[in-house]
Amino acid sequence: MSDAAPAVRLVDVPGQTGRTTVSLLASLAARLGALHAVTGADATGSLTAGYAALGREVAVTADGARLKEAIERTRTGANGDALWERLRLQEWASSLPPAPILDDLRNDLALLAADDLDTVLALPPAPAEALGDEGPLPAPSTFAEYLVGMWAFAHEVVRGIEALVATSASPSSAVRPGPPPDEHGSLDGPLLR
Amino acid sequence: MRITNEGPESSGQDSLAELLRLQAEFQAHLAEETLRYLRAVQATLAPRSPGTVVQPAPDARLEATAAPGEDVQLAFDLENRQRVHSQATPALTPLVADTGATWFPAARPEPVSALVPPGEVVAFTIDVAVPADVPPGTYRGTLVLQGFRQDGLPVVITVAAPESAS
Repeated sequence: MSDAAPAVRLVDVPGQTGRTTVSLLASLAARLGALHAVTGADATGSLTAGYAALGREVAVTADGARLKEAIERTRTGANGDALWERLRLQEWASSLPPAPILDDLRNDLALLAADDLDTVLALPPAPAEALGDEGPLPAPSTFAEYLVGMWAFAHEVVRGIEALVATSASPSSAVRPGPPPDEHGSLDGPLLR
Repeated sequence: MRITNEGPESSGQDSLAELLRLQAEFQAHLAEETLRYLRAVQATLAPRSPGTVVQPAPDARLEATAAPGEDVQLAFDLENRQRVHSQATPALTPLVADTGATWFPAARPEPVSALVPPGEVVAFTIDVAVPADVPPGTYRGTLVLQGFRQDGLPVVITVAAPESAS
C-alpha cells in the first residue's frame, strides 16, 4: 500500500448475498436457466437496455461524456437515432428491465479466476437469490447511451480477459529461440518468404 | 383534452371522432402501462447478480495543484474486501470550477483496469494533463469506479495562475 494514498474499499452490497464462488455460480446458472423461460426478444431487449443503462452511467465520466457528445454530433448519431425511432427500438429497449451486464461480466470473470471452483462445482447446486422488488425498472434508452454502453462493455471485456491471463502471458515482443536450421531442414512456408 | 360543441352542423361528427380518438389513445396508453407493469413483475423474478459497493475511507479525497500546461498525478489504493476477484476500472468525471467552467480531463490511469484478488490492495495512479488554456481556479469532480454502486472519491485540482505556479 502506498504512503498516505487515500484508500477505497470494494465491499459486498449490504443486506444482500455477498460475492462468493457459490453465489456467483448460482447466479450464472440461474441466468442460463432463465433463458429457457423468456423469449429471445425479451432477452435481447433486456441486454440492449442493459447496454443503454451502462452507457448512461458511463456518460457521467469525462471520457464517456466526450464520446456521447461526439456520437450525438455525427452522422452516426443521426442515423442511429433514425433507426432507433423507425424500428421502434427505443420503445423495445425502454420497456424492459436492464440486465446488469457489467456485474454479470465481472462475476463471470471472478468465477474464472476462483481458486475453489472445482470444490464448488462438486457441491449440490445452490439456488440463486431472486431480485425481488429491488430490480432495476425499465427506463428510457437512447441510441447514444446504447453505443457508449457497448464501448464501455467491450473495453471491460478486453481488460478483464487480459487481466485473467496477465501472469502467464508472454511479453508482446518476446522472442523464442528456434531449433537450429540444420535440425529440421530449412525454414520455409507461405509466411516466411 | 377539450371536446367542443361549436358549429351546429358538424358538432355531432366532430364529437364522435374526438371520442373515438380519445378511446384509442386510452387503450394504447393502457396497453403500454400494463406492459410496463408486467416488465416490472418480470424483473422481480429474475436472479440477482451479486454486486459490489465502493466504500471510500472517511474524509478521503484526491487533491493536486498545477499550473496550466503541467501534469498532475493522483494516487489511491484500492482494497478488495470481497471473497472473490473484483475488476475495477477508475475514471474521472468532468471537473467543474467555482466559476462554472467545466474541464473534461484526459486521465491516464495506471493500471487502466485491475482484477483485484480477494483481500489484496492495488495502487492506482492517474496522470492528468492540465490543458494550457484552462482558466485558473479550483476544479472539483469525482473519481468513480465504473459500474460500481454508490460512492466515488472526491477530486479537487487547483489550477494556479501561470505566474504563481513556480
